Amino acid sequence: MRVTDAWARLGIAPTGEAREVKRAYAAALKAIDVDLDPKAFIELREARDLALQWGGELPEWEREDYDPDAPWAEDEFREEDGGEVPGQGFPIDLGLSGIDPFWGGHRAGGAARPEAVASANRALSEAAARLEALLSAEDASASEVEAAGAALLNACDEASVDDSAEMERWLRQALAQAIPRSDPVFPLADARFGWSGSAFVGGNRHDPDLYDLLDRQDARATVARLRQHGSVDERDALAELTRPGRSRLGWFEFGIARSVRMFLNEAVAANRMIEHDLDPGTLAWWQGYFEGRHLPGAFWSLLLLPVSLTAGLSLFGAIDKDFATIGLTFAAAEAAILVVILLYAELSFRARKRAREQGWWDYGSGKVRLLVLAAMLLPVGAAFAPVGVAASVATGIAAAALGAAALFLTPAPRRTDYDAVESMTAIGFPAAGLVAAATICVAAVMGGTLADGTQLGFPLLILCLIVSRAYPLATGDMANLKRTRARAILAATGLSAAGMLVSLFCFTPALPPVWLLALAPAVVMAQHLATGGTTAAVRLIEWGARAGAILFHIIVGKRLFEDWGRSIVASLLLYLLVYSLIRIAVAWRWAGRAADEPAYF
Amino acid sequence: MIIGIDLGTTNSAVGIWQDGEARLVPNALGDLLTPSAVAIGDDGQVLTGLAARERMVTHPHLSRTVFKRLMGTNAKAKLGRHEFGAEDLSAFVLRSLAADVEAFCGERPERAVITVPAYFNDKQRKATRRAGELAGLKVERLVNEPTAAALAYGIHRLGEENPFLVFDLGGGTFDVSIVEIFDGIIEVRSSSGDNRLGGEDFNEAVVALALQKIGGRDWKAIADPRLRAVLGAAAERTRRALTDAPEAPFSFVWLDERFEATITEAGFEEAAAPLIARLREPVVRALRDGQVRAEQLSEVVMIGGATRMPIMRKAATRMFGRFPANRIHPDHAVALGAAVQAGLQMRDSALKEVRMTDVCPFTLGVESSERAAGGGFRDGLFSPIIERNTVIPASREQIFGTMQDGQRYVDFRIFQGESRLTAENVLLGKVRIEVPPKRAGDVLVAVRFSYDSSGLLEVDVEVPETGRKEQVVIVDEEAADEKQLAERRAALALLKVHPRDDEMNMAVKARAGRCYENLLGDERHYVGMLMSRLDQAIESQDPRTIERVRAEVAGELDKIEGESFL
Repeated sequence: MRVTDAWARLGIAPTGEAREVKRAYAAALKAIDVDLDPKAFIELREARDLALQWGGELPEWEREDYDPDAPWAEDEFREEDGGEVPGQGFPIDLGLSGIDPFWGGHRAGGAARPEAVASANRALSEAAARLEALLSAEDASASEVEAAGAALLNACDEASVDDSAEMERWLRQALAQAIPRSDPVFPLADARFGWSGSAFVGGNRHDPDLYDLLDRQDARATVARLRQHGSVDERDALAELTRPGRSRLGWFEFGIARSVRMFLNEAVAANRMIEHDLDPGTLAWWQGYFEGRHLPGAFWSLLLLPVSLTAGLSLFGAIDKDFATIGLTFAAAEAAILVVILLYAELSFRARKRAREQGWWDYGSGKVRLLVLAAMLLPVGAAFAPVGVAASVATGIAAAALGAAALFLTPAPRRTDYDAVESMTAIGFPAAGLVAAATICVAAVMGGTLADGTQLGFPLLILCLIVSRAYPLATGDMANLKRTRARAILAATGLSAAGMLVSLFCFTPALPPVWLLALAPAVVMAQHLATGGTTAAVRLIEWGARAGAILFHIIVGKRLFEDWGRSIVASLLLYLLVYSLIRIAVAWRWAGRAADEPAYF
Repeated sequence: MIIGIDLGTTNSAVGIWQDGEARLVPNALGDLLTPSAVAIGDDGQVLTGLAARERMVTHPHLSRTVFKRLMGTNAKAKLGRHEFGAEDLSAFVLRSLAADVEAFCGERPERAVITVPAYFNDKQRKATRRAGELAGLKVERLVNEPTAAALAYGIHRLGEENPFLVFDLGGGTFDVSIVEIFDGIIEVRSSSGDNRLGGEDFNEAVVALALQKIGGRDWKAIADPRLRAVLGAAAERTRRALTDAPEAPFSFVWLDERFEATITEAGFEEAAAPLIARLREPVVRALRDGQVRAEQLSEVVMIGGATRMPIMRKAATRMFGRFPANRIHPDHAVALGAAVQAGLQMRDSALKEVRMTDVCPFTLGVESSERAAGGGFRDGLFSPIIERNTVIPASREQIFGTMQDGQRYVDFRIFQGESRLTAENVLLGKVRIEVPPKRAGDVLVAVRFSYDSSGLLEVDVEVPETGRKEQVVIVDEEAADEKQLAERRAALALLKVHPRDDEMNMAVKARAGRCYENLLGDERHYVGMLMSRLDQAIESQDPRTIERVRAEVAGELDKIEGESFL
């Protein structure tokens, strides 16, 4: 309803006299039957409220000289430095008429204690002054503040309704400005005035102080809940962010970076008031870290890389042939894996971004991505199989074809659901690991050597892992979660079974033990992939895989060097080397990443 | 004819609009108030009113009071062989009130205006309306109790301009309204309240205080409903005595042993302080929503039986900085207001220039989610559609969008309350509407809430894109369709109601029975004798003898336990 129409409905000329408006309204109301014609009443009521709200004025856009194309907003906006949108309304009817701007702009004046109260009620104003002093004092203890707040509330109980209403308004501003020092007073005041019970309706709706105070309460509750019942990541992140002083981002601690990142992206972004519970120094450090302003871990790793290489070379003699072979294979495999990881992350991020832009998950691109991945794994598989490159390539192609067939046979997904992806990961990884282990064992039992099984098992393991990860990403659907899960496990089992058969029929000769080292990057990669999860179970897998990798290196090293000491040193060095590479890669990836980017890899 | 009924927690009353003014109709006992109590008599017949309330102490398993607090729930009360819901029990009371009107004016009323606490939600309002239908009354309108009181008060002050405040503390609920009058329009500007605060809570405070003084055994552990009834009756008596005296006795008999304590005014005040503190918040909220300062109020009108307590007047004086008005009878105001509304409903010529507008005292809305930062959703948020203290009838629309890609349908859950989390609000109903699967946020759904002048809600949901519409009939699992209602009405009608002309005898008999239980020694013996005398007189079937003996017995009982009260 336009304001002009409102005056027409009331049947009077525009006037600023509220009494006139009410008189006209009363006369019009008596002329209609509210019960029989509620619509007429609703209209009349709206007319009355509009008339009272605008007084004798007409809004700008209803005046005769109003030019809708004039750049009014920008020009006038610049003139007023208060930042208020002129005309205090919108040309579009938002259905908000009838609501008086009762609380408009009360915040501008700051939190001056109400004058009327001060003169009328001494006990009340003294209590308020005491609380005000304590809230602005840096060193006031929580119990002191709480006591002062309780005293003020008691004084409010004794005061008249008007005085205590005035005091309530002041208290809201004062408490909001003194967050987090005002924390102990809030629950008392809330119980007394029922703030949280009636926060977003009626007269309180537009009060920004109340929003702040309630957000702060939510933040406190969230922090308390996360401390008690949060996931491993959330608890770690909280412990890290509340610890004063330097960050604990240490040598082997990528998990903490991920945890903190998630915490900042989710909990803190959802409610800024949580920041008050965190240590400001630590928080600033981590924020800088994620914005790419400092990369201390990667920096130290960069230093370490040549150091560890030199140390390793000097320990074993510079031209030790076996060692050189190990190092080269290792570096090649690791580089290939890193490329796969980064490419995959990049591809999946782009696909997701496109999905957001186009409004639909591009299913075709999901399939293509998987094929690309499978193809990229082939050289890795080839590197592991010096005896039969052709056979190895054939195995890879067969596996990729199987995976692709499984994917093409499934119906088009409706949407991508990241929760489903997470839970799939938690199940898919152990499942894939089990399947690969079974492949190796069966190959060994059926007459081949352990190495034979391993040779095929590991490319397959990697493939299984990626499929179990990528499959739900491509086809994830909350409604069909169980079916998806079953299909992924089935696909992984099928691939491994195919690999087993191929390994039994195509390969018999024993492999030189050095190729067993191919295991190392695979295990490291599995462990690295596993860190995408958030549950304690995934964390357990991660640490198990790390320990397993080191142990495996030591055992293999013993066969190679026939000396436990050298083998232990070599495996630790290898571990450091791999870790340095991964850290550099990950730090490089994370630096400058937008906040809404997924943090899967 | 339309009658106005105040269906209260402890007492009910009925009024009519006659000869240009509202007046209350006396019941068979000649009282203007009828206790909201239902009992099954010794002969299997249904008793209502005072007789039923007196039997509460002697036959707690066959009597029920305070059932208004169960309105709108599925709780069933077992009375002997019968099982009744709060609606059925209320229907008995309403039926007896209608019978009183029939006896008074010789015309059987068919339509009624019934009052409900302002804070009654949709379920409770619908239940009240059903109770009316079960009693054979067409419910023309439900009126908020403080609004009714404002009508009763305002109808005599149409010339005044300043807003006034109605402070209504009844047996079970507390309501506050700010009312403004201009040019014959009685306009409720805001209402608020606490539907779990009333005179009964003050009685409980007295009981707790007294039992603490008496001590002796673990009273709280005794779950016998009889003890509760005995204590409740004793507390009511003590609280009333405290109105006039600085201290009052609290005494009751339990298992043939008398327990006594003295309650002082100061002790009671201290025990009631937490309850008094709860009065402030609704008052402040009503003033704020009505955009009125307490000093602008022309008057503070106290109604409801519990406001007779001196501590209430003291608290109100402190809150408002002035003495409250007592120009209107606190127990009669609501029923008188209902009668005025009945007059308005009948378009009575004396009320031609008078109109009343009311507000919706609570916020109505739907549940919504928002996308949380860092993925996932924040569920269970309350999106208000009709805000509290919106003038009714009202109709508001709000647009919502889908949250998921390819979403097939939208579920709307409808809530009443003030909290921003739906978990803390009251669920009124739900509706599901199918939407075309599209990207999140691309499908819009319009939700329209229409709230009529009786405070009943209708929700329309529409998808503009497909033109698909759904309408919600709020909750009402019991589907009050005409046929079922008629069946239930017939079932209730089958129960024999105690004859009206015998009600006086029943009331005195029941009172004597209660006194007997509550006394010991000689006094008990004496009351026993009085009871047999009354029985003999009733058996003689001579109306004059009965009347004489009944008056005598009542007089003796008055002497023993103090005057009877409602």
